[in-house]
Amino acid sequence: MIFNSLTFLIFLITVVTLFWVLPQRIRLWMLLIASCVFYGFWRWEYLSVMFVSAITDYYTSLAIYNTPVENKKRRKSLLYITLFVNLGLLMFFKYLYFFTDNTNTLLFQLGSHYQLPLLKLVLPFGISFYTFETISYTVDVYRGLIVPEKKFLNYGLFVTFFPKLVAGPIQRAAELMEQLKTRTKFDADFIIIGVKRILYGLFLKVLIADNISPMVDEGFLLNPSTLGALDVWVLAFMFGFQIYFDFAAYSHIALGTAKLMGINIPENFNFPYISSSMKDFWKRWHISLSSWIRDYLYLPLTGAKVITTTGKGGIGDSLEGNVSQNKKNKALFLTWIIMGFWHGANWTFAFWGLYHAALIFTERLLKPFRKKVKFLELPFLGWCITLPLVMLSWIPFRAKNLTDTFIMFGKVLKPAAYKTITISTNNYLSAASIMLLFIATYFATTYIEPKLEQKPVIAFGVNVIKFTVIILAVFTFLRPISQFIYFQF
Amino acid sequence: MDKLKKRKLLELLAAAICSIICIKTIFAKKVNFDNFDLGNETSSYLATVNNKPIHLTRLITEDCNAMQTGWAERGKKNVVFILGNSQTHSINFYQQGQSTFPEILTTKPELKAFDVLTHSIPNANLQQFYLSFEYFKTKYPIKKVIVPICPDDLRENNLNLTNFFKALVDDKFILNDKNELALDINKSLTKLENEGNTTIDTNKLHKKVAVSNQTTQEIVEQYLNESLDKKFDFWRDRENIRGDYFVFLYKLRNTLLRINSQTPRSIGKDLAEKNIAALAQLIESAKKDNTELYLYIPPLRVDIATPYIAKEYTSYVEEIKNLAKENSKVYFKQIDSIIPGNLWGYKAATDYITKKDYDFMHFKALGHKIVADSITNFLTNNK
Repeated sequence: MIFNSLTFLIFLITVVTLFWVLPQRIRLWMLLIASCVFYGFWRWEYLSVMFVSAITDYYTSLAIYNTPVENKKRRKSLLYITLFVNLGLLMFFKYLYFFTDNTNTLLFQLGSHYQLPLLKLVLPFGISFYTFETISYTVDVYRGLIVPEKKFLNYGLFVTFFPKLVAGPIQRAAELMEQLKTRTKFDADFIIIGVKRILYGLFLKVLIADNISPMVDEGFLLNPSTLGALDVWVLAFMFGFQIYFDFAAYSHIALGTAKLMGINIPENFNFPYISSSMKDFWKRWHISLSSWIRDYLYLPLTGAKVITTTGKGGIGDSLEGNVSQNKKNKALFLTWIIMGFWHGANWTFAFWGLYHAALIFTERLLKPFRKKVKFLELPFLGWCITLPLVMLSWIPFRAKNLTDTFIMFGKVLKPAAYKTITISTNNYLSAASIMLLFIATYFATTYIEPKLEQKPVIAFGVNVIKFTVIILAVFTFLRPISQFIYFQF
Repeated sequence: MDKLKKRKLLELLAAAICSIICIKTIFAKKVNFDNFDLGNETSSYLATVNNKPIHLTRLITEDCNAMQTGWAERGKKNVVFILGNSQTHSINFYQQGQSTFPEILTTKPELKAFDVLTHSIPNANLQQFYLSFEYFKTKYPIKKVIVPICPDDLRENNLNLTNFFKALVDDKFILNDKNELALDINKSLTKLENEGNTTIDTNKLHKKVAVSNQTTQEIVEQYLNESLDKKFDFWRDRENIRGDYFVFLYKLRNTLLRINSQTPRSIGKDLAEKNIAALAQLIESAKKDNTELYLYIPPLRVDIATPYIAKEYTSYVEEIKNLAKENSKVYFKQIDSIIPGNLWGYKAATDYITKKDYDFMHFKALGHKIVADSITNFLTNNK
């Protein structure tokens, strides 16, 4: 089900009402069924894929827990079963076409006429998200960080819980399951906060992201060799805004929806385009994914021991302990290539991952030098450097292929290319206006709003105007003309 | 409930009430967006002969069938096919009984051996022309094709299939050519055909999707939208409000940046790349069928400062002229200055400061007569 639709709004009102009316046990069943309905509204048959992943992890985690710690071999075998099934599903649905296509190209280049059959499958929505959740659950049991859930109802609900099912935030079992099991007392705050978050999300999606989308699509359809350097910058910024507003919108709605039922889901974004360094960016962008990558990929690759499980914090610093720099660097690059491929089966995504790894690596190299020169530690200077670099990273993310990516990157580096302007000036105006609005919103939220709250009458007036505008925009533009970008990952 | 919670809840309720009031009052006016580009002073006119259309803009199956019936009734003559933009179907300060140049051409004795049929699209681009020609040549024996090459249109790249080529989707039409452009167009056509998305209006989510392809969400969403549309005016009016919003942004931009119809704009050679490629394909296609192609630089208001950069404009005219020279049975005519200043009108202002603006594209009925004469001469004497 798409959040930006009438169907979802009716579904949501029904589910939330039932949630607060029904007794605890029945309401958990109701939530499980509702979550299946939510998913099935897209494709009923793909519910089976999700349940294969969920059931595998349910049983393997119980088996791991019941196996004595001394029996390392059996515990490891059980863990491998989980990884084999989940990663196997992911490989089959997401990467099979990519691998066969690349193998065929390689065979052709080697002079072979044999070609493997290409199987183009529909990617089940949310597969990258729920397989990561189920993997983390079993790994946490294996690590002894959590005790596995005995009731399949509770566990099944952790996997299928509809607000975060299709595009996250990627939730840890320990954080969600306890909330689902406990009967929370109704509080008006749940409705107030929940409705506000949903309104914010719908506003960002239907008014901003969906209206930026045609400009971005048109720009990236052009032959990149005809673009000027400034065009490339503007397209990078525009897509950067589109993907942010689209994904942040989804996260707002997911958080708001869960909040209506008194359930807290971790924040996924925190003004990422305000970041003053790449490290800072990954603490603000898709926080649940960067936290997952930290705990289940990066730290294990460095050999560091993971002692806690949380979907918060993003990619932190100095968590590796006494690991050699060489090991850290290898882990960094490998992690980011995998992170790239997680986003999509295309070399452009791998390049995107490498680009980020290279920037973080450079940042680490320069750290001692930056500490010596105070001026370089200024957040404003950091922002001025980080923002364009981050925005530029969206080029491979959106470009059709690596050739287009390199042509566009080449333009940026070529001074002569700054003389040509090809795309419509509306793109330039839109990019500038959105950037200004983004900065203004950051300052308003961080500095003005808290002060305003101390003057109730003014705050009331301002908020009524703000929400009137938001409701009007949502009412006018609500139509499921596009899915959320992260659905395809 | 404590005071703060009460206040927060009241904020949302008050905002909801204010929104309803706004929807019911401020946003309730209707705007005809079909004629928004043209302005109030200019009207659309689609020619007919014996009550059968000979000029179409949006290709709807019923209209296409009616045009074909008319052509058959008139004796299935060879066809002179006009491709055009809004200039082709618009008359400034229209009065009853006036007509456009495609209709005037049907009365010319020099062309009585032919049937004159037209397909014009506002802000048409050459990719659309190519598609239109390929489609119509499967329906009619086209012997001559008239193509205006307007500098503004070269910058357009959107095929806008759902708005202007609905009949092609219904027909499951696919281009036979294997060039890159044809493959791109086919991809878009196939996508729409597979989805069965034959809605004319993309602003409404009324996807008439083949039931077997629909997800449960699409079926439910379609039902809900249609039900709300039928029962509530304010739901139907959302389309107008969306239009108002974009008009507001457009006018705001023009006001802030002081943009009007005379503001110089680049022809955007790089942006035109796909359209020039489409023209090359159109020429190839016409050659294959032994069809004569008549390219012309359309009339422009030249008694005041034009919005184009002189050097760019001259080079663009030269480029089209050379293209015609290089190919047999492709003719070229420059008629950009044939309409005198007094035959051009104004259009409603496109900002919040001025009241009206010069219209560079749409002229009065007498202008159409001049164009018709000139094109007749072009078709018969290649002059």
